[in-house]
Amino acid sequence: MQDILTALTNIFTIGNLIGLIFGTAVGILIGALPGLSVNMGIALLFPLTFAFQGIGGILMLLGIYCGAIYGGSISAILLRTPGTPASVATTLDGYPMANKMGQPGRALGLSTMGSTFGGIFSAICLIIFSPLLAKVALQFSKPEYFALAVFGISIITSVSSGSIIKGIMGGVIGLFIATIGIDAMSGSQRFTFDTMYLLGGISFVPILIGLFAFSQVLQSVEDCYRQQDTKNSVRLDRVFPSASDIKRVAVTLLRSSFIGTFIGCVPGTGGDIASFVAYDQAKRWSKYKDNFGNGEPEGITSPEAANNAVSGGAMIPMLTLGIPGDGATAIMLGALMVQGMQPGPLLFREQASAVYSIFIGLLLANVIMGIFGFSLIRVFVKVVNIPKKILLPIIFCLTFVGAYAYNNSMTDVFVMVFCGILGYFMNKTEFSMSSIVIGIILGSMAEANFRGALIMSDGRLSIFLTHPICAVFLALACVSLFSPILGSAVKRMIRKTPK
Amino acid sequence: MGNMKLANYIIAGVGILVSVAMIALALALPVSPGTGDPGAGFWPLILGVLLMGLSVLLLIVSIADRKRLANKTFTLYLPANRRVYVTIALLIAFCIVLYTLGFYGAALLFIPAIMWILEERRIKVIAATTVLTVGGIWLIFGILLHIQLPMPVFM
Repeated sequence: MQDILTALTNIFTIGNLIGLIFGTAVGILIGALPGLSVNMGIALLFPLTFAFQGIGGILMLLGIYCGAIYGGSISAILLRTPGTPASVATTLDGYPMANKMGQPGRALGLSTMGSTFGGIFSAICLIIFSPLLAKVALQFSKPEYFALAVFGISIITSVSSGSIIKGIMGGVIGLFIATIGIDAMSGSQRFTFDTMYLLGGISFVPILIGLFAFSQVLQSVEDCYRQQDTKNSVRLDRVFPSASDIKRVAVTLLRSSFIGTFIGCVPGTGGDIASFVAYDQAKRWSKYKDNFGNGEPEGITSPEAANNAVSGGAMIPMLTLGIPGDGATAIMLGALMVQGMQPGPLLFREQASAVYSIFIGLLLANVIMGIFGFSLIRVFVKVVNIPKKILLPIIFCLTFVGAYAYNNSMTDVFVMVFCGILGYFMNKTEFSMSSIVIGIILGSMAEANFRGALIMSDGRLSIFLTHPICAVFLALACVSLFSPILGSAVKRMIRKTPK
Repeated sequence: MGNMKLANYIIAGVGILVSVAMIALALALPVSPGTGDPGAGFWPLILGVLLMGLSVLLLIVSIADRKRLANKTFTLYLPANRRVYVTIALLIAFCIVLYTLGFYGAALLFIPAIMWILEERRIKVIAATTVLTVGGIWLIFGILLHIQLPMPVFM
């Protein structure tokens, strides 16, 4: 109880509330703009967190996370261009309702309601289930933590949308980058080449900004070549859903929120998977199946509830076990570590008030998102008209500021530019950038616990099999790593088998 | 046009070279498996061997699937790509100018240049965007958040 009261005191300060509100608003703007992603928004504004005292920076990132997922629905509904991958399913009914039926306000209102409900539902699940899971995780020792890190790294195959082999290569490179600097166990210098910069290891922040934000902007420079800037003027009438709409979608909201929370808990899955599964289930159970694809209200609320519910679900393994649920929580994990908070079960024991601050912060972020959505949607709608010619130079400047602000180091800026250029070409060759970041974030945890476990067992590798929980996580990691490869091989065999 | 077959060959080749370097550097560190702490070089050595294995696997898979991969193309030489390369050159120049003129001075040159490359020709829009962006960054980062950005070398 004391921790909850301390958390409330932490959150309800002017600075932290401003950070949360600012983050949510910026997140909605970023999500609404096609070409800017959730990951990019978090990566770009992550350096700002250092200017905040205590938990303020994390609250801002939570706001961006929630806001950006919701913001994607604005351009999905109005322009048929989802602002984020998680909003692709929303276009199926959102655009027809806005365009064919001439009810953009109703569509945006339904999406706001779905997103807010899903986000709050998953935040409540986070509050209830995380402490329970953390209690179980307190039994873990070094072999289990190593296995957890390996399992977390194995989600690489899920975030590697192109080539799985290249995804794993990226993860290995990320793990190697994490070894640069002074070895924590022996104190020896590793791969520093006698440079001061590398003595402290390669900073994670400039790599993050380079790979996620800078490379994305370069891609946008390519995408907007010869594109005409068109102004989309939208007249919004009623935004708040009517009683009949609320009644129609009530059960769908609950079902989709549950689906999103559950899928969010599974490392490697994200809002895009959750939104399509929820849409599919909504259509399957709906009385108005035939109306799906033509502006059905359930077709808008189901994917939006699910994709925002992923936020709380993905934070459950992130906070309790230190495993990122998706790319965005991988960045959040890095942000927490840089702020001196090591996610895992010990976090609940040693910094319980900080954990409750995150819980309440996530809940508040979703409430603020709903308030913004219903009251300021007419303002956010204008954002989709900002020309890329104005937006892209601003974002470039912000990447430079962000990379420099972390350590006041020009070398970080050069690293950021290098990673950004590399990221641009990596995108083209289906080389996953999320896998590199996940490798960097989990590398230290994996190595420290691997070596710690070997010290416990006098060098015997069998320790990883004799600890049952460790063995289970390693088995799950193998399944996670190899199932996409085996799955596609089986599919090819089935296709080749004569009928 | 680039194709995935060639890209994979290059990635595999670079991967093999990098892994050889990783293994060589790791072997220069203490490696003592089987006796408690396996040493500072053990983990990087495992990673180097893993990367080498994956690079060879990528090469084999790419050779086996070369016909399909050769048809999987991506753009590298179109006018849109050339615009990106010009932007990259400008950004590298920005890094150098940043060092001499400081952030604010360099940004005053950089923003109009980028907008010109993006085919914005309205001088008033370029000027307004430049002034508001630099002013906004100075206000938010410099004044509100007390983040010191690079100053000119002569200051």
